[in-house]
Amino acid sequence: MKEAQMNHSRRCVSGEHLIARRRFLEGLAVGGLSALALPAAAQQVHSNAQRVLVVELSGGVSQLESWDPKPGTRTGGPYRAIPTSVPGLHISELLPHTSLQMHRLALIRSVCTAEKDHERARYFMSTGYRRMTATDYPVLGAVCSKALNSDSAALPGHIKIMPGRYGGRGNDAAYLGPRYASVRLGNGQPPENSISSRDLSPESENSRQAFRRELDRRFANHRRTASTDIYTQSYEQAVSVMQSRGVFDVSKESEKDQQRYGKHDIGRHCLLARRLLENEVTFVHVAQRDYDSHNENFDFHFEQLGKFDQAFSCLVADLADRGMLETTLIIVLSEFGRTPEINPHCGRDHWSDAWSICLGGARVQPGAVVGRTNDLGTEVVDGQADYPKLFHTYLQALGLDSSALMEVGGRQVPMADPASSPIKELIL
Amino acid sequence: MAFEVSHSRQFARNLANRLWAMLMGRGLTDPVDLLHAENAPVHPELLELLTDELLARNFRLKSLVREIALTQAYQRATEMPADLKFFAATASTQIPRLIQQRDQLAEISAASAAMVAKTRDELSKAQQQAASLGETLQNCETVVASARSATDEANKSCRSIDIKRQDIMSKAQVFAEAAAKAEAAAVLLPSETDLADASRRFKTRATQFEAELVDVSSEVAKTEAASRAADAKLTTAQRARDDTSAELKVAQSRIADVEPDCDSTLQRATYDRAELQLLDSRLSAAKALSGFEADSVDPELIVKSRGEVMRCWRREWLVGSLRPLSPEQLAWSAMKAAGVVDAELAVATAEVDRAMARSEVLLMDAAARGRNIEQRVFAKLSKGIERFAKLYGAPTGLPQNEFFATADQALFFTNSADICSWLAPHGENLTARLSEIADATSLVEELYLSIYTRRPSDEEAVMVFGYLNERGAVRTDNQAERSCALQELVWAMLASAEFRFIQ
Repeated sequence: MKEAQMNHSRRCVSGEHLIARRRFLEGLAVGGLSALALPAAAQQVHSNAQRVLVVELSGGVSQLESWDPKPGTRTGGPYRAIPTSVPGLHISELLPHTSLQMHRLALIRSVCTAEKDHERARYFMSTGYRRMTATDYPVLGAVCSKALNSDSAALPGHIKIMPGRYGGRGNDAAYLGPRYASVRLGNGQPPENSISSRDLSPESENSRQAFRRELDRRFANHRRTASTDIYTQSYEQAVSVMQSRGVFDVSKESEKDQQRYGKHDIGRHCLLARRLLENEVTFVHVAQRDYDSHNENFDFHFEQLGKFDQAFSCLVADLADRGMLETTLIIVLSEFGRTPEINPHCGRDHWSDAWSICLGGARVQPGAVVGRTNDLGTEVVDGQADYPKLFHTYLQALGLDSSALMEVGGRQVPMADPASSPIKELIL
Repeated sequence: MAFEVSHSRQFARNLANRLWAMLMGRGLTDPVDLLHAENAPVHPELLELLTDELLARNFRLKSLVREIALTQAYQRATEMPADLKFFAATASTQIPRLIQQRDQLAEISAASAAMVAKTRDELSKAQQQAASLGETLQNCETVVASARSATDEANKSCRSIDIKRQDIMSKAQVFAEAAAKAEAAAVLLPSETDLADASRRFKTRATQFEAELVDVSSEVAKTEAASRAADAKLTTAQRARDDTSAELKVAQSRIADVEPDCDSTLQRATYDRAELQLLDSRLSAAKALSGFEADSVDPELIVKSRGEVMRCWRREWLVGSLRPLSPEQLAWSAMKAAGVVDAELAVATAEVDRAMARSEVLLMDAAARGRNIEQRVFAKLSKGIERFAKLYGAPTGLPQNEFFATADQALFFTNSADICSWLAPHGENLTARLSEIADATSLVEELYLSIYTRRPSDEEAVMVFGYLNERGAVRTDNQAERSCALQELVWAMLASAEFRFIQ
């Protein structure tokens, strides 16, 4: 945590942040470490905290209908490529709004991952390790939540928004422990049990929480441990989740914004993601389904990417408007891409040899394109990247040292696969 | 192999450490999964003692659990003394001595660490030497083998040439004799010229064989010389091999000498380091304690010092360690405290007795009846227990001994239908019982005994009474407010840290 902040303070070079950092350093010079306790200084550190937005296009989005079009070729399909806000860079015409945000984003067009099974690829993608029996690795969200989230955060640091009747805690933190596991918001619903019982008045609630605090304070006088702190803090976080239940309610946004993002699932969920990121949630994962287009690939992508394009482009623009882009890493990923060859059902099948991922924000070089595929998109010809490399790149883009070790229950474990390394040219 | 593993000392040590950790909240070596020579236990002698005991008791855990439970260390309170000033004066007088001891031990520890390095170095040198000697020995064996085959070859050719020589020699002899006899015969009958011819032919042959014999004899001499040379070579090779083999034996015995040294010095160094850490901790505690001598210290420093003292004392189990309840323990304890278990027990008892009275079930003895009732209660409550286990336990396949707390647990405990139903007064449950108690003192006592299984302190009684008063819930005739306030109190106590952890 501390290291992440230090790393971050080193990289702040924009005028605005320089002032903030200077103010922070002044505080340090005067008060030493106790300056961290000063509300003003603490506020500065907090608002500079790094966040992550992941948009997962689940099922395997076609790179040819999105980030790496090959118009006019045997494999290119019916859609054209359009220019973007980055001179010389073209993406599929299915992403007209996103094309205007490309100067804030970056592409990796040379992803080659050698895993074509949905479940195994998803595991590999989210943990940076190939799944093996008898070992389990934490997902990116859990790693980021541990590395970046503050212990006293008001809201859980790892939130996953997805269509469907999900809820509760995900089983995705492995050895980091359930504390860093995702809180799942199925259909964008607020966390389970976050609404007070009807029989309980707000005064009653406040009153019993106050009494609990008093009991815990007395207990801590003589028996305080790290565990008792974690336990009492979990109740404080529960209280703030209940109090900020409105954060999970996108209908609180203006009608205009709701229209802008779209009232479909991905629209509502991206708007919810914005609300959560604005409220200092460290890691927000939004999932959109139905990209597994073995049949009618072009119709499906037209429909799904249309919704994604609308919501995602709004989110990128809004994060930029709010000055949050420098502190928010954006990742648009999928478990794999789709075959360049078009099958007899006008579909494309599972394909992991040459596909693309979109990044942006934080320390990602804006407008960059890394790697290249051949003319038909059947092969990577430059800058091949696999899941472990991507995992390192995400962490590095957050100002974390991806080769560092994390302390877990008295032992040291690597943050990311030690056999791999980040894509350096993509990081500022 | 399983037998070997389970009868090794390391196995017993591991088990002893885990047993200690289960009972005392933390292993002597911590974390328990990292039990190796370089992770020093807090009290090495204690761990060895427990290991001895476990072996002596043939792994009967029950009796060792009993021993540990009877120790003062186990029975110590988890609570810190309220006033640390009492310890301050002694602590400050101890500081110089502790510093001195610490410095001495630091030297000893450095020396033992150096010793480890030295013996390790010696061992690795001896091992290297043995390895290279082993290689040489193998080469020698090859040389010996090839020399032996050379001598065998030479002997064989010696033998075959000798046979040839003997053959020629016997032929030469036969023809020489025949020539002599034929000559004598020819002298006796000079007119028969073919006799003289025969005698000449015999002679020619004999001379020829004599000449061959000379040749073969020199060949014999040559092969014999070669054989002798091969023999000499073999002897040299064998001598070299025997020498190397002897050297290897010496090197191996050196390894055997150094190896236990290495183990014992490592053990020594581990002990020294453990003791040094212990002294560091004691010194740190004494320094923190000495701060309490002066009366006016700023409150922040007091909190910090208390924390430090507590950390050091916990390290040595001078104050007990808190252990979280397991998910199942938490669920059962909370339901027991809230009166849910007793309510279900009453229902189940009535059911069983009714069923027995109506002869719907076979007549049962008291024990069977008790079991039957217990099974019914368990079946009724198991769904709720499962919900707790899912929320408060780590996922399947992960270690269950790491404590964690998450907002979703707290939200469940705050708002779920399960907990709300426990709190709502009905039948004989806790909130129902409490609202019947008119006397405030008895009420507070019942509350504390039911939930914390201890009596409240005066201060706590005042606090609870104040709470009821503020909520207008002291009088029994104000039922709505009273029920509300009692539910709040019960909830807060069940949700508090004191209920969550075993002291």
